[in-house]
Amino acid sequence: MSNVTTHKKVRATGRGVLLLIFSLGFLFPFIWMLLVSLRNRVDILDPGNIFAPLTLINYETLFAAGDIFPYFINSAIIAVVNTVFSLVVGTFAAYGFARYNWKKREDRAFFILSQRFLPAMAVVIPFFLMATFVHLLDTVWLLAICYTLFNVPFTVWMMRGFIEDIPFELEEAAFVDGCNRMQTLRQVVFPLVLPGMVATAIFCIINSWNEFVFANFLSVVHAKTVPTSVMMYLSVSGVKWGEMTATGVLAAIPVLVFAVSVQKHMIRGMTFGAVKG
Amino acid sequence: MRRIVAASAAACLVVSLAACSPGDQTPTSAGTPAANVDVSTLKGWGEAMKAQFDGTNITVAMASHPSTDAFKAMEAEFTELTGISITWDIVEETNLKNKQLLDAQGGGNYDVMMVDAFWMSEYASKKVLDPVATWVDSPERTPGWFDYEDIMPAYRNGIAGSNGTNYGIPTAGETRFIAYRTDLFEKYGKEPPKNMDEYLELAKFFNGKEDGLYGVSMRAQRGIHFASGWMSLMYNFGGGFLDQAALANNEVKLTVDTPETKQSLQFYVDLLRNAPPDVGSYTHEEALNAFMVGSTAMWLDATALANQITDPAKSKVADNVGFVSTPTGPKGDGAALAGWNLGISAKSSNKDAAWAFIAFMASKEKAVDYVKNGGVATRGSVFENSELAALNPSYPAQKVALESANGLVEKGLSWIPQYDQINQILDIAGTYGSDALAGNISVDDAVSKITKDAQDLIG
Amino acid sequence: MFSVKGFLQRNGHLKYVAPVMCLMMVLSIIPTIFLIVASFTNYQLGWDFSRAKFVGIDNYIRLFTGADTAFWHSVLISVAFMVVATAIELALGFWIATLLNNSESKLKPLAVGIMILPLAMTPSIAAQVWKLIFNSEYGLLNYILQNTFGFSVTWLGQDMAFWSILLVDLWQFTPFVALILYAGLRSMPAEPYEAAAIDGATSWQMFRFLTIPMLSKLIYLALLLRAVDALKLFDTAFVLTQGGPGNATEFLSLHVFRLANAQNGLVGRASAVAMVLLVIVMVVSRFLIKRQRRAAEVML
Repeated sequence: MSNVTTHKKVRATGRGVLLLIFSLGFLFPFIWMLLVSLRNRVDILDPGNIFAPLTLINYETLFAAGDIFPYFINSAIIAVVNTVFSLVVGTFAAYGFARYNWKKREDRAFFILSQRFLPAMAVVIPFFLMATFVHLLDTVWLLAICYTLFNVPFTVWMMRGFIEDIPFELEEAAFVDGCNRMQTLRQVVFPLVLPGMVATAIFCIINSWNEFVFANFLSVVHAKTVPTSVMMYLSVSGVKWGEMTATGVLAAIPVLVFAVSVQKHMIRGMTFGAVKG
Repeated sequence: MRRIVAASAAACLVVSLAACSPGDQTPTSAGTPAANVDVSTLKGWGEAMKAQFDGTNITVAMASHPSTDAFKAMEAEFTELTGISITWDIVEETNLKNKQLLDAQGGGNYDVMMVDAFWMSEYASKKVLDPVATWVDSPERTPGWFDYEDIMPAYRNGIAGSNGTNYGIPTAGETRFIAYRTDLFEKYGKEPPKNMDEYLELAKFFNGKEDGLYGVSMRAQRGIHFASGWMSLMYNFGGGFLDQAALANNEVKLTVDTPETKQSLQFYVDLLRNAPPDVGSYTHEEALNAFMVGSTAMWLDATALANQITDPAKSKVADNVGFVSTPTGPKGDGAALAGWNLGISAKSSNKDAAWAFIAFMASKEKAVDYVKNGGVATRGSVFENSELAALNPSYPAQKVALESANGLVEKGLSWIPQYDQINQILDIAGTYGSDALAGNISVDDAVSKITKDAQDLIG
Repeated sequence: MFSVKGFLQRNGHLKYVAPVMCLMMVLSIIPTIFLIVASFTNYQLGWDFSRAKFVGIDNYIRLFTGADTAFWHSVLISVAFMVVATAIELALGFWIATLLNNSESKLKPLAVGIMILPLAMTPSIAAQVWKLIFNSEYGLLNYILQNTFGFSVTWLGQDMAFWSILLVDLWQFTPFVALILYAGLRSMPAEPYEAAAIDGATSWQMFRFLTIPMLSKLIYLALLLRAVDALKLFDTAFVLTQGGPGNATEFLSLHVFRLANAQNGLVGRASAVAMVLLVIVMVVSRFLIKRQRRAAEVML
């Protein structure tokens, strides 16, 4: 074996080991959450007891009480409605920004993107008052609307990049063939930006699925989402670690399944249209 | 919208029930239950309520608290009896107050609110709750089996209202006391502390005495928690945040920079030098856990938490724990008096149904069930119940602690000063107090900064 | 004569852009106006609006004269956190992205999957789990340290709290940065590198003069998203320390929260701080967005 290949092998192994270490680091809080969710309360506060008996009691308690199901249903409705809406509206706007040129374009683009950066803490009280005024308080629709505040700008931003990367000639060709703008959009643009849309969708879903501040203040009882369930577990008589972590595990699963199943699109999409591929 | 639909549905039901029932049953929303029903038994009362409220839904805003769990355990019986269904909004304490205030401002979704004694004066000034006298004084609404007088006077008069008007029914009361490790105290031949000097001495003695052992654990997280922990000792030194005599004349006078208050802060900071090093991030939760896993020799906090310490499923020290009252200070006793109340939201559109909920849940009739389900005692009859006392080893010590809490009442003081901006003052106090604990500023600086900021707030 | 149709034809972008513009206006202008007005009053949570009084610029004076002793500290640590978190996440993220890109292991998809985990975990719950891990008495971290190295760290104490929050932020978002950059690396053409290799360029030179310029748009993007979110940081710090001990970790958004939440309910004062936060966020994001657009144009 030559020196060069040995050297290469060593380096490859080194990279593997480094990646392994990083992966374990990123993994370990999840593993710990999983472990805590599988333990009895007395053992949770004793990290040394690695061989503490595992139990499904926390999940059983969770399912028996059933309080958590509506939270999951609400979260799912909000995530889906908001994501679909943001993608449709956002992609249209992105097309406008990518394909038209007008004087105030960059100012408008900045205005939209800047919404993504509004600190939730700063706007949640006025939102509450507005929602009361229009009788939307404590509905999933209100949260679905609120989440457009960060998901639409994000979508516009991402999709603008993807659309700008599509050579305009392709669209021109379609025009020549007699397509109007809408047909071109549907038949030429959408198929090409689909991977980008998938990547965008994942982040929209993660953002709405995990959002806490709005959900907490703008829901009373009927629109509560999974992240706000934490409030139920922070009890005066101690944190209900078991149920909380069990909820955490259950909440992470759908996102993970979705993200991993579209991993290829996601990685491609994560170039944010910045690099032609 | 939903509310209107529900209300009209309920109205329809009432009308239809009235239509098919014989005689003169014509319930009105503000009126009394039908006169021919005997409400002196739970069953009779339940029928009267059902006639009036069957199908009504009420929303209750509650803290994550053992009492809430106990109420939930009694939900089925209540709904069965009265036909009133309950929607629960259960959240963590600080957040609960946010949601209640916002609701009072515009939502109007809540009917019953569970309210911390600390919030009473503020809520009174913001008109969040209705005074309870309207209902308590009505024999139809509040039959004999409720027995208002059975609630411990200290709680009835001390934690349920502001300036003489009561806005809530106390459902969880607490004073504070010390839990100590009998095994450690025996091993080193120590006696539990009787006064503050002994308390500090013992904390110093046990701190570091064994591997990973600290002297004491208390709540000291920045803000309200620190202030609340500090308050558990403050009055024993003769200190206080506000001059309560002046307050009675509507005059707001700060007493944070008096030598007594300063001394109490100095003591609290010195004491916590013998606590686990991250005590500055402890709420009651972490303080309790630190003691329950055996990291500290002593713990001073709410009596309401004691049943966890004695529960072997949760606590590693369950078999080796004793309880004593908060130590006497240079100015006598002044242990805490705090807790939770159930009150009726001023914005509620189902106030009578909401009261039915409170009347049932907080009644003497259901008090034993309530405590057995994990509720926290506020009634004399509960403390005297031998069956319950057997289940709660800390009851005798709690009773003694309550007597020591009377020390304040005797001095004419309210443990929580009845001033509508008291929570903001506590936050300021707990902020700079925490700075002093962290060693960023001296105790002297802390009290002068507290005074300055609080004065700016009061105006 | 004015015709709607003609106007729309001349402003073709409107029908695409207008819906989003309207939505964003409604959702942001009204709250912003509320915030500005409130910042000039002494309004408190739960008050009738009639009880509020205009106090002029008192709320701002309190901030800038140091009467609000926590304010400048909050600004300082917020900016410091933004700089440190963004820098480390970018550097570490880049390194991991390179490792991933160069690795030919069959386990690579698994590593990518693992990196999605911190993003998928609900932050409010994840932060609670971290709080449990950090606990100095019964936490996992100290247990490991104590048993392997014989010492323990007060993770959420005065000196370490800032760094502990940083650690959680790194855990949560380094993979996000790494994935973005990995995606960028993967889609880069091979020809420039081959050409450079023939010219005898060192790997550092290739990195400096090829990789970085080609990825600059993505680097700015990651920088933008991370910098602004780090500036707004709330959930993690709120769960872990609530701003303490002392005011060691009272970032600007936590300062807003401490003033505005029910414990204080000083909505007027909080609004003034929120306005300051808003201005800082807008300045930083505007700067970075401009740089990002420029980087994009250079590339095209």
